[in-house]
Amino acid sequence: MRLVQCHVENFGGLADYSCRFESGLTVLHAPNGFGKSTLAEFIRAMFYGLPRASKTLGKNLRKKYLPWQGGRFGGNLVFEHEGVQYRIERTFGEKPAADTFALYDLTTNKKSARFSPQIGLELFGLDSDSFERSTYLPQQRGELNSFSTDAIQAKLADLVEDTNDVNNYDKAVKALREKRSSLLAYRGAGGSVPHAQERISQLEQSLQQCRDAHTALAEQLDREQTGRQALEDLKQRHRQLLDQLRQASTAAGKAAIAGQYRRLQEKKKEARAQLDRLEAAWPGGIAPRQEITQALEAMAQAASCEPSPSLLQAHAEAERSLQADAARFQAGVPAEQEFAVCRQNCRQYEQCCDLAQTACLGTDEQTRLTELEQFFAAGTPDAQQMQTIRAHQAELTRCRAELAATPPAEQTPTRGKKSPALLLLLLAVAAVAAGALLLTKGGYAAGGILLGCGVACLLSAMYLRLRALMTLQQAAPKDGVRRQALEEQIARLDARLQTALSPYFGAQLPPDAAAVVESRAAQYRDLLEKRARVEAERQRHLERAQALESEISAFLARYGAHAPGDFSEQLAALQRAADRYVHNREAAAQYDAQLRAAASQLRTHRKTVDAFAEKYGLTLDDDGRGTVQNMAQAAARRQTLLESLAALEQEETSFYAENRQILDEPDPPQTFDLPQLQRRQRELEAEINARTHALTQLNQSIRTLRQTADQRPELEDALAACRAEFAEGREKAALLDQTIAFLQQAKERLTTSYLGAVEKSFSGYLRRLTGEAPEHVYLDAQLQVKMERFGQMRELGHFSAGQTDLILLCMRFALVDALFKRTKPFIILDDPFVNLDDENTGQALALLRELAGQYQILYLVCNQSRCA
Amino acid sequence: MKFIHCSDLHLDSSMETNLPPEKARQRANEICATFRRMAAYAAERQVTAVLIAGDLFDTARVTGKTADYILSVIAQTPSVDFLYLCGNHDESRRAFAGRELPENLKTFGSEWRYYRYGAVCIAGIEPEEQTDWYSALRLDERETNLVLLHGQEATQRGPGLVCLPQLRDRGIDYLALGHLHSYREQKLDLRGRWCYCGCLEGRGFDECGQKGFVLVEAEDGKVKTEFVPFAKRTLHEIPVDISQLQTVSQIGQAMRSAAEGVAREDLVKFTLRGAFTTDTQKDLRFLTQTMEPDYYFVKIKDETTLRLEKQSYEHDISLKGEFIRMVMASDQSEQDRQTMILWGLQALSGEEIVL
Repeated sequence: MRLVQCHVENFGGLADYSCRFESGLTVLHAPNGFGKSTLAEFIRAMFYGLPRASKTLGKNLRKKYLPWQGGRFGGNLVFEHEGVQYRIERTFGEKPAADTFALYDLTTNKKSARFSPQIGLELFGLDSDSFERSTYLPQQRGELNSFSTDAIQAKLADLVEDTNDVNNYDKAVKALREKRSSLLAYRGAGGSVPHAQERISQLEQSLQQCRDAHTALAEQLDREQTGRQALEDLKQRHRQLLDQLRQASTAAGKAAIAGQYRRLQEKKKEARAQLDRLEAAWPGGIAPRQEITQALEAMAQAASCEPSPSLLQAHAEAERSLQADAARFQAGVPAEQEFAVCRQNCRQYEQCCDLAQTACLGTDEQTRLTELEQFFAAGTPDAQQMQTIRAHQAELTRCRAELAATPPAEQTPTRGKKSPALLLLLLAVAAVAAGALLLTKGGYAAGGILLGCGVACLLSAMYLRLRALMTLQQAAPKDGVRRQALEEQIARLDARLQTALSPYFGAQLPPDAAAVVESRAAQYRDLLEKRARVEAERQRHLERAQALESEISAFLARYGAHAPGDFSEQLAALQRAADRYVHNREAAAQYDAQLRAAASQLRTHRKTVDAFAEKYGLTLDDDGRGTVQNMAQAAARRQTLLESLAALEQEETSFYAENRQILDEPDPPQTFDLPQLQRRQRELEAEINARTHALTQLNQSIRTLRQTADQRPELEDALAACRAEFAEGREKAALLDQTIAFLQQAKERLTTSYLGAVEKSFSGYLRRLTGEAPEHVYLDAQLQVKMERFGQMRELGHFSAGQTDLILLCMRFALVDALFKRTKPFIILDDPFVNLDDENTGQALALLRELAGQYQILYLVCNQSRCA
Repeated sequence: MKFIHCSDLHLDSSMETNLPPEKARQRANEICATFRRMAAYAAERQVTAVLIAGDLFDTARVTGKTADYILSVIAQTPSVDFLYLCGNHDESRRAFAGRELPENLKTFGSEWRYYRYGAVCIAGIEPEEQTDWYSALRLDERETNLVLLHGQEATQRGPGLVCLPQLRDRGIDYLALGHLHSYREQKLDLRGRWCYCGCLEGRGFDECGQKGFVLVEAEDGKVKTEFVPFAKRTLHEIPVDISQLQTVSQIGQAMRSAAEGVAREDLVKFTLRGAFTTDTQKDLRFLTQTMEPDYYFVKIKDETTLRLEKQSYEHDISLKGEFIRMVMASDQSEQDRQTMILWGLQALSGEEIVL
């Protein structure tokens, strides 16, 4: 395959650009910005078209190469393949649907169907990306130069392994293994599959228990059904037995009823015989119960009508007592009012005696009276005498006061008083002394003033003293006369008082003698008057007491009760006697009435009893009451027998009515042995109970088993889910294993398929270009190149950028050799030697020229020095 | 005179819907509750008898609790007779063993048994295959005859089969069948019809659509039937083609559109169909979780195929291309190949591997 020419109508920055390609090396020397890379992309687009629009500009080639100036987007390219020239015409729209493709066979100038729009794929056997990665060596950009080793190495590796593959192979395998481990761990028992398996084992075990329970349940249910049937049979037999028992019981019942009827008849007969015997024992007949009761009551009442000894004794005692008091109260018993009057008199008498005894002065008053009688033994001063004494006493007091207010003649009124004159004199002396002292010291002004003040004070003192002396000299003669007159008057008055009061006090009078005498005289008179009043009162009480004593004594004497002593006690004794007399009198009357009534009743009752005895032919002796009581017992017995007989007759009638059918029926033949049937019944019931108990236990067991068996649906569902989970997990794990295996195999196959050819070509190119011995170059499975330097294999990172570019150029051609077996492609080099020095550039260009015989090479370069 | 024809309740059976355990139990209880509702319906509508055409229970899974419950429902509906025919899944005798049966629960046996309600005769048999039970059927053509059987309708005799030709022109007015879980009714002969009432409640997504019982009205020798939808919940299987869909929201929206009109209390199974690419966001777990709040239960079945064009990997000189080529060349099943490719590509692109 060989490119012939191309024409770019509009593609990116290129417009109406044509280019013709040499069969070997085509060097396109153009400055930067010309569009060399765009031309390379145009060529690729002619073969592969443009991919779908991508969101990122770097990948969105439709947008990236949209014509800058507008116009038809596309162009054509002429190539030769197997001796035939073809022209590809392509235009591009915004979307692939708007793209056009046409292929012309230039031999005939007609459209050719030799290739489809996927002509690149059909020609080279590589997709667009792989084609680009292998046949297009881009210019080394600045950022790539700095790490060209890694970047170019990665790009070379992408030739056989997609970029994502390279980066993510290990991660992919790891992720797949992790997924696989989550299902089924490579080691140990981790993962959901073993977990499900374990759960399955548990569930199967539980389910087996359920199934066992289910089997046991079926067996138990069969047993239960059998047991229930057997129980039903037993119950049927029991029912039959009960029927037989009922028949036997009916026969026994009939016999019992007949026997009971016979016993009733015998009892009635016996009662009748007893009644006959009883009536024969009383030939006069047995009185009715009421009459017997009346007779007994009459006899009892007659007995009770006899006067009792106590009554008779009480009656006699009452009579005797009446007889004893009859003389005292012959004239009658004093009335209560009389007793009341006499009791009132007695109380008044005692009060009068007490008042007469207590009518006298008190002890203190009597003592005071005695003292005052002694004080006034000489007589009591009368009122005139006392008035005179009081006048003398008042006059004496006044004179003494006046005397005390009149000063004696030799006394000066200023004695004892501090005179103002003396003070002024002392002040004057001090001022004069101070003034003189100041004058001697030279203080003439102050000394003069003080001296002047001293003189003034001195003069003032002298004036005051003189005036006082003059006043004293004028008052002294008048006071002396008055004092003398007063002293004389006092002496006279003292003498008169001494005369009047000395009978009471003697020579020595107390200071208030007149007042004392006057006070005691008044007190003495009061006591004397009181003693006279008390004495009169006592006399009046004594007289009243004597009158009352006479009256009481007369009352007591009238009933023979007067005697010396206490009137009250005598009166009380008289009243007790009167009361006893009245009581005895009434009791005697009552006893008399009772005795009379009893005698009357006794007669009546005896008449009733006699009539009863005569009616029934009884002889009532002393034990008549016993006879009547026997008849009463006989009557009661007869009544009982009659009632019993009536009841038996009633019972017999009723019993016969109730059991007439049975009693009238002939006796059935006895076909069942009742005790045996009852024994059989007990045995059957025991058996039924045992079977019922067994069935109950069986049902309990069934319930327990059913509880276990009822878990079966849930366990089965869980087991099914677990098994599904287990199977799915295991299947997925196997699939994951296979996926990992396929991935590993793919990688190994990819590597080994291309590695040998790549390595061989690479060594050849490298030797031709650098003379490097093949054994010094190592290419690993990752297509990473290492070279030996100083005995050690070193990665490309240890070499210069130029050396690296040369190595990678060799690598690129080696890959092209390996990749394109069928159709040799053209190679586009976009100024790849910018890092090479002149020597290496020369070598590289020489290699290009050499390879131009093998490949069609389009070498795009911007620098003349790197032109081939 | 009215009768209810129901069958195939399969009480205590496993739920075939992959319901979580709690919901499975709830669903099982709901089927019991539906039986009670049906009994109440029968009492309220003065139905004479409920004809249970087999498979009331399910094999040996019947629990004592359920048996007690059913008996109590029957006992508490004394105005209605329950004529119960055992089916191939029933173990009713075991279920009711040791229990007192209500008087209004009538059963059948290995010989024809007849129950009469006025002029209506109901016959049923739980046949033993070695016997010629067809010829043993005796019906009075003057009566209205309802026959109760359990089995697969067929034109030949055989175990578990109901040979319809053998029952033609025998005086049957209504052949009440049980065994199939969907309602079907067809002509038996000039006189009668045969009918599968279907199950009372759907239990699995093979029992989608309306479920209930058949109300049979016998009047003056004529029989009228009416299917009465009665299930508490309906199961739906809804296909969704995701071929043209890329994102999970687009797929979810398509599922919702497809399920429009489905009641919230129903159970829905979405079946994803069509082809998807490696770029398709087909996250079943996410889709299930986002759809679950809208329905009682949601299940998503993936029947999609990976759309992998041969040209996209045939000449891809990369690990991915080599991997796909190797997997596609393997003798694994198509589904396994798709799964492995999907997982491998997810792993290589660093995406979450969706198992």
